[in-house]
Amino acid sequence: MIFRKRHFTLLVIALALMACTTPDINTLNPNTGPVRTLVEIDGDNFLSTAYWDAGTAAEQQLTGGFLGSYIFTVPDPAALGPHPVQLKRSGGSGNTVPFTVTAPVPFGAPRLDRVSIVFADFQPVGQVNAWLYVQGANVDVGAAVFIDGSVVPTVAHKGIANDLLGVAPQDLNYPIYHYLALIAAPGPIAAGNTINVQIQNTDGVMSNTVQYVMPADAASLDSDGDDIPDEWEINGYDADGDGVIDIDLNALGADPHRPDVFVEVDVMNALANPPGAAVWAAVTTAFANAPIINPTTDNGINISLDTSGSVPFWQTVNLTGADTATFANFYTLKTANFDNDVRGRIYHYCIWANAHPSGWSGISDVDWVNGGDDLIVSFDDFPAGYQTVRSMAATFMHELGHNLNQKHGGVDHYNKNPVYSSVMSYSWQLRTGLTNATRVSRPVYAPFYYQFNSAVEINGAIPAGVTSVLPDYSEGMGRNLQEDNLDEPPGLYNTNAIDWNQDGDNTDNGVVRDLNTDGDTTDAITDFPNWSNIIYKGPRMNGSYGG
Amino acid sequence: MYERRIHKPLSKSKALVTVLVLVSVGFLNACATNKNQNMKPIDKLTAGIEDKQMRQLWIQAHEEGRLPPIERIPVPDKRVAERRPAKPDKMPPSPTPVRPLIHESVIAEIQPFSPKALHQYKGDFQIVENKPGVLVGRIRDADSLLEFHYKLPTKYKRVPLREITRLQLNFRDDVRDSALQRRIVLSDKGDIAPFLYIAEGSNEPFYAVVREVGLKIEQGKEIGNPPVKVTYKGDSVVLKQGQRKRMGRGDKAVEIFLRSSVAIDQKKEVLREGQPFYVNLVIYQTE
Repeated sequence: MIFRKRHFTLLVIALALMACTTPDINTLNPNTGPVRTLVEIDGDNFLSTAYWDAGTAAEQQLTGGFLGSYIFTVPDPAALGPHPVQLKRSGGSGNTVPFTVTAPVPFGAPRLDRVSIVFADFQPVGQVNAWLYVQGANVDVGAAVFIDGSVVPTVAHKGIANDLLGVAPQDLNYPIYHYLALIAAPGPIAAGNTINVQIQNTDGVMSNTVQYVMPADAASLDSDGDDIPDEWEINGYDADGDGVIDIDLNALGADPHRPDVFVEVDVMNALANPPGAAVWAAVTTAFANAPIINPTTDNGINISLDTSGSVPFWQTVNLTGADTATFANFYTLKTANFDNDVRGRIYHYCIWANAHPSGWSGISDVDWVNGGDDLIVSFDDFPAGYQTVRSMAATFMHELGHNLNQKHGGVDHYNKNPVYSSVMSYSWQLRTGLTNATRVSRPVYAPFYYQFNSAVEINGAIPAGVTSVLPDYSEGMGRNLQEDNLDEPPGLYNTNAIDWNQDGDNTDNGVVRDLNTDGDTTDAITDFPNWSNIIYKGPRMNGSYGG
Repeated sequence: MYERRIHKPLSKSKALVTVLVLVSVGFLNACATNKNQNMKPIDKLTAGIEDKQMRQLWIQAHEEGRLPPIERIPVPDKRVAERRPAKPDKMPPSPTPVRPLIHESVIAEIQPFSPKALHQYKGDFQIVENKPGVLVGRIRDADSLLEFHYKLPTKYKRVPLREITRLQLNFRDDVRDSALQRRIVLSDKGDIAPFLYIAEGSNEPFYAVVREVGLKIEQGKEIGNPPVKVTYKGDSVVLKQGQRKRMGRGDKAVEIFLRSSVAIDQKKEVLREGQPFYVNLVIYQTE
């Protein structure tokens, strides 16, 4: 009894002391970087405030996030060298930890990528009062959200630190150092109304404008914008309205605050090179790594793949054409093998086939407005060098990317855009299977392709030490090229020169070349961010051929 | 004794506990965290906001009842994640090439197989084995064999080539614009085409001259499945997709099978992968 009471006493004291500890910083992550760096404070930061140049005459308070200073943006300007950072709460100050400011890097305007809903309160007067989740690239912690031109209450929530993989920021048109999500409170707005959303960074620079349609009612509320209502993601999808749940989406990993993509993949029987588990793991991981911040759960996109089915063997398959002894129309197979009544509203449908009549590695039924919902992967008869996890995952993501309304060239259909770091480009899709000479003729940002720091393809060879098999869509960082003024020595990145005019050297400046082969040499070649422009409504809209 | 013995320490303990609890309460009262925990939700929400105007915006919106419930904002778990939190899977070792499988439903097919990747080759090729459905040969100076697995649209199960026959091979097995480009031309000095396979695309109606065997292939311009004209040894035939025709005479006779001929309407096609025109034909010597 005595001992118990003493233990209790000590516990009370310990708790009291713990509760009274000063708000110490364990680490700053990172602890070095240029101005505008997004920094995470690991420590006792709950309801605390961070100070920059703490304890000096230049001390200034830093803006933190929701419930305290667990994140901050390095002030701009700031002198090079170490700056003490300290957390304070009323009644106590913690230790100081230095953050070392390095040379400045180019920093563009904030880019608003995505607006979603954290919580929506539907009010009887036909209005909705919501916590908006407004996120984008290179957004400062102290940034403000503007709705229809007016600033609204804003606080930072979560971030993603980006990795340029050794590519010099100067070699990118829009280097992305981090992504950040803001909570914004626009106040009650008419349900179903369209609002114009912008972000203003702490330097006063405004982002692009994104139009967002406020939810109309609780039943159709789609918080994460994946075209699947929250109600279905939580309670399941009743396809025929008979009161019986046909697809338990939640059991399949659906979350109303994380975008979901569902795909049924039926693999043709008797293929020489059927896709294995490693292919599906690569695709799942690539989507999970998407630079999309989710308020309540893991970041990225949840892709749910049902690969349990199969279809009979056919020599060739295409979306159009009449069935023959050796050719099957995709929709003949879809009708026989896909439960469209139950799954059609939710799922994309893919047939992993032997071959395409035109030798194409795949095809999608995209309509370039609403995306698509059908795709074929068809390169089982390609040479052995293409029968790899990487090429399979890449081809699947390429065709699915079309279903998500993404183009070969980003803004256009130019299919070998060198600045577009996306599996949608032919320069990426089957790259590891190409010859060295072909790779040389199709330059890319190799560090982004191989996800390998400062990677270089010397004479087109795959860099040593590469381990990644993950495809990726573009973040939209690549430099701009002008067809009538191409400089060879700088290349795309890190002065890895490129022989743009293919004259045998890579020393020319002001080279003129019709890169996109459209018949002129006047075009600007630009990158395009796929991840922030995904269209999810393909399964509802049924693509260009219906079905 | 019992009472004393147990009572005395308890009394001491009680006093100690009382003192310590009082001290603890004092600590707690003085402690900022405790104060902070008693803060109003709006003050907690804005605790990290340095900008006075932004803080005022929040307070004003709160006072006007324009904020949704603050407790519905999730407390962030991982505050700053990495762009690629899941580390890339290690690239599996170079795939072991798999011998082609030609399905029984396929009417005609030729697929190459080599243990080592071979995109292109032109030169001597010596037949080392000719068994039904598989022709095996050695290309000059190569340390591995090249196999052609095939199925012909005839009663014949194998091409009439003797082992140790030396032929000329013109071989291309590659991908252009994400479409298969495969050309296999086996020819002898007599300009005979005992074994030929073309699966190639182009941006115009397909046209090719295979000089080694004096063969010309011309695809029609019609959209859909245009016919293909083949000229060989001065004779011409026109084939429709799926058709098989015989050309030449005697030991120079060959059969031609047009597996596919595709021409898409580029104005109507919503998405084009690969080339708009494609021809796939097989030519083989008959017994």
